[in-house]
Amino acid sequence: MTSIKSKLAEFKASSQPTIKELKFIITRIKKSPLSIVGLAILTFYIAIALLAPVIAPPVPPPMGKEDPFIVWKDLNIPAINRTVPHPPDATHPFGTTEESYDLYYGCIWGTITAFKVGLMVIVLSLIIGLVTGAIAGYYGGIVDEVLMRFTDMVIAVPGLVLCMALVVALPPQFVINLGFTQLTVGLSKLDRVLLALVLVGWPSYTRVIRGEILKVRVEDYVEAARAAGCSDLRVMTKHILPNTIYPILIMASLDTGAIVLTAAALSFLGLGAPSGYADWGQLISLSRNYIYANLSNPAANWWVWLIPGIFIFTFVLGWNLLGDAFRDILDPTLRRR
Amino acid sequence: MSFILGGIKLSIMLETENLKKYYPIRGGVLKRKVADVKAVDNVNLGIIKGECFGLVGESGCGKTTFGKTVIRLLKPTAGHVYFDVPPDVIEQLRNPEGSSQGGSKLEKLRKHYDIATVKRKKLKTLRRKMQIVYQDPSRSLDPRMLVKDTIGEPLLVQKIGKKSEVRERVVEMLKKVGLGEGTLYRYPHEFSGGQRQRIAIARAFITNPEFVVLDEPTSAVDVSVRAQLLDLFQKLRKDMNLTYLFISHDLSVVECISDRVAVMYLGKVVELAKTMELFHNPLHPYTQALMSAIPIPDPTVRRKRIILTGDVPSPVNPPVGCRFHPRCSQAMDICHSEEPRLMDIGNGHIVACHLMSK
Amino acid sequence: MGNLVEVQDLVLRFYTYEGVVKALEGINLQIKEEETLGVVGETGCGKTMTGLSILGITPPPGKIESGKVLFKSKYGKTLNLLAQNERILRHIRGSDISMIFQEPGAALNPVYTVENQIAEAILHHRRKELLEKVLAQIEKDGTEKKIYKKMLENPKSLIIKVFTKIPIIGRQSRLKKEVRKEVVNILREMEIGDPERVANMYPHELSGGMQQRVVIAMALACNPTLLIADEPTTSLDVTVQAQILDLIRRLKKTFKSSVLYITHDMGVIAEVCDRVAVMYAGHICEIAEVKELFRNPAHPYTKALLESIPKPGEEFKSISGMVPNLINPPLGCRFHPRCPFAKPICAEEMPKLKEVKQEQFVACHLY
Repeated sequence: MTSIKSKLAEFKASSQPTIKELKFIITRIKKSPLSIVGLAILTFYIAIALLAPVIAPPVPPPMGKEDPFIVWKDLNIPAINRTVPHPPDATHPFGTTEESYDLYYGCIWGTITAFKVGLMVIVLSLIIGLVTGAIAGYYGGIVDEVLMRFTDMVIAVPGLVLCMALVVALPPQFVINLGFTQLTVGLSKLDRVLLALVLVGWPSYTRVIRGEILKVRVEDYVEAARAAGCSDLRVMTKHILPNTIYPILIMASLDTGAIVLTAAALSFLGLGAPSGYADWGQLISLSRNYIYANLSNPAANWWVWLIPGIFIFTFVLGWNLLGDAFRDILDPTLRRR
Repeated sequence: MSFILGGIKLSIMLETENLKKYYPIRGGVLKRKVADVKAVDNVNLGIIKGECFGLVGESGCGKTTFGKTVIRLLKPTAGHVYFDVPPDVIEQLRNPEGSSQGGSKLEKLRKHYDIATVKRKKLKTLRRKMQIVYQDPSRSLDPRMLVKDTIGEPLLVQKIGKKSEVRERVVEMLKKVGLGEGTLYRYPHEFSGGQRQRIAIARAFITNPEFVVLDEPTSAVDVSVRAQLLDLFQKLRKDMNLTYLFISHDLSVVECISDRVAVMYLGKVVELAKTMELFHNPLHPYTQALMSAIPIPDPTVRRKRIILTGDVPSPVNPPVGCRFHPRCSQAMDICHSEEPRLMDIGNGHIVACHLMSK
Repeated sequence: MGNLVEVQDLVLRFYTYEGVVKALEGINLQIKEEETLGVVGETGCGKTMTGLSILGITPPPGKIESGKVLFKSKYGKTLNLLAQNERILRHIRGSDISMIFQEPGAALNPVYTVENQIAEAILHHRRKELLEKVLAQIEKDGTEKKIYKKMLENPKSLIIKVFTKIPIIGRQSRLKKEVRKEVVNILREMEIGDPERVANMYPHELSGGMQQRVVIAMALACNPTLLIADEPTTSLDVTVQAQILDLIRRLKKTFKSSVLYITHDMGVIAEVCDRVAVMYAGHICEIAEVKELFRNPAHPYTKALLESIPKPGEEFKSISGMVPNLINPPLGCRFHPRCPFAKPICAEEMPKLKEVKQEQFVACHLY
């Protein structure tokens, strides 16, 4: 009996600090209306992404394809009219693009793509950036020099240009020779875009985390941990990283929006997702001949660029506001004010 | 250094022999070493088991560097640090010529007790026995770790006891330093300076060390808390059979808690004596100036102040000869050229000053 | 000697996330002319806040709720500093009241030379005086004289402002020479050997003691009547501290200013101060002359504080309990939970400062 009671008391006591932190975070969020807006936007998009199969059900072939991410074409429209975008109506709430791709379906499923691209690129860049920055910052000396010069080289090349070059240069599949067997890894066009964005994005994280680690490395509590006998790895993971990770998180959330924008730009240029894929930039690119309608009424085909544009804009805005919210909440120097 | 107090052979906790800690200054395009910051320069000190050894000096004198070097938080540039040596062995290590053992056996003994160059595994087990308490508890405690994790970490790292026992031991240690169980699940910033220092003390003492370096542990706390902490240090020393190296620039505190005191200036020891002897009869001019500079909490006493000219020089280019001579009011010709050696005046009182040879 | 500063019932509160911190609760202080008043207390007792409140630079989220700070300015008028607007306060800061802080390295701007920083203070407050000196020097009635005259008469004119920004013509070399003379003078008063060389140096090239001297020079450059010193020697070595305390004692006689010396070190109080105020948890416990305070401390807290100073050969005596949290301070006298002489009334009513002896005030129900 007593052990259960004591265990309960223990649980209550051990959850106290987490509860206090959560309360503090909620109060800070309440004080900043823009962060509420940002959170609302992102919650809205998460809902759309999760409910996509329900609110925009995949259309079976022949109009759609096996892969639900390929936007279905409305083959009911006679072939002559198919190349011209059609304005929004009952069957197509957002209208169609050139070749009669349904814009509504594309935008809804594009949300999932946006999250996929944004989060995967950020997570992978973070991991690479963290590891290199941590090693460079903690060990210093020649290791630091070598890693930082390499990072400098990657930063020196203009980001978008390097991205484009990588997308073109990366092979559609590569073979890993493990001696007893061979692994063939296929890279779809979208995967190549993701990989290119990761390879271009990691250096900024390296620099930031290295700077933070240089600051924290000389603190007394790190030395005290070494005095207790902690190994380098333990010092890094338990002491240094938890104290230095916050600027990175803020950067990461702000970057997610930027990544999605870059991916949209690449898609528009034809270097991103394959044709017909549900990706916002792709959707605009699909009607690139009709963005400027005619002399007398240039914005006649407004739905073709405005609707995916609004999606991109608000999505990126949500992430930016969230990043600002993170900064307000997580910055330890501004706390307790 | 063969200064045996009063002829009694004592067990030595720590003895340094020609200990040097230099920091290289790199300059030029190829970052070659141009000079050294001679933080600790040829220091020979012996700390007896069970005593509280005070080390005083001003900023830049190397006392903190010395404290961190002897527990191997910094790697010595040269010299030996003998740790936990029994009385008969120390005799042999000090007088290698007069020993009965052969050369190679002596080398083995040296290697066994010298911790200046030990590597990882042995160093990790050594860390259990040597600990440090820092000056500023708001910086020496990880702000993102709960108190229970901070104090429990040395046990986990040193693999002392089972994981289930850790909490019990932490609570027991907290009681010893005067804090309750309610402090377990809180962060350091929720406590006052004095309480934080107690948490830092709990962390340092939880592995049952034998030797603790106290690096100005009372400088960052208030006067009333200072007395509580000093009381705690005395109690813990008796209960846990510890040896302290008490580093401080505050002479009034050192006078109250130490058994013997050494004075450092610019990386060298200038005077060493039993506490009462040092405070009543300081012989080195620097010690005398230091003593006279302490403000006395009694307005009726107007002490005759020995005001030193100039500022504390930097340890990069120490003066030739006696390092103190540019500021010394009693400097003689020989002080400009020759460095004075440590001399035993008697009763364990050791001074490095040319005035003593007169 | 009359009262230079009179603080009446000063109440300061901080509105933080955790609650309202009642930092100062009804402070009553007088600083006489040409005296050094020491304010001693532990961390969090409010002594720094008292100093900042007099100058009106309490950091947010602090708000001064009520009270008066009556100050006799150089012109003889008595003002309530808390009721003045920023413009008048800016005239007073630096010129009538100066403040020096604990970390001299942090008080000096690392990208400006020493001369530049002291000159800033001098030019801001003593510009008229220096311009008059310069005008007296110029014999010829030329453009130079006209420009300086205009600067003296109409310091805010747009033409002058634009003119002084032009690189070579707007040099004001005479004014700069005068300012430099003043700077070197004041550095020499600070007992800095070779003041010419030091004036051209940057703060990071100076040691801690020198930096503190420069800060004191900046503070005294305009001959203030009150100098507020917030723990100026705490971060310095003990021999350097002795030098600076010596300097402050000598400067008191030269500059004839009052000093409000804030510290936690009783030894320093005994060395420098004429009268002492002891603070605990936001209110003043005792004000007395320094010799009387050490000889016959009246308030239990003062007694406990003096006893807790470690003395060799004796046991360590400390004050039981802890400094209270000022968000929920104890009712009545804030020291009563730790006081060995507490009576029931101590938990209900906050005692007021009463004069128990000639020039000794205590806030305690024992009297």
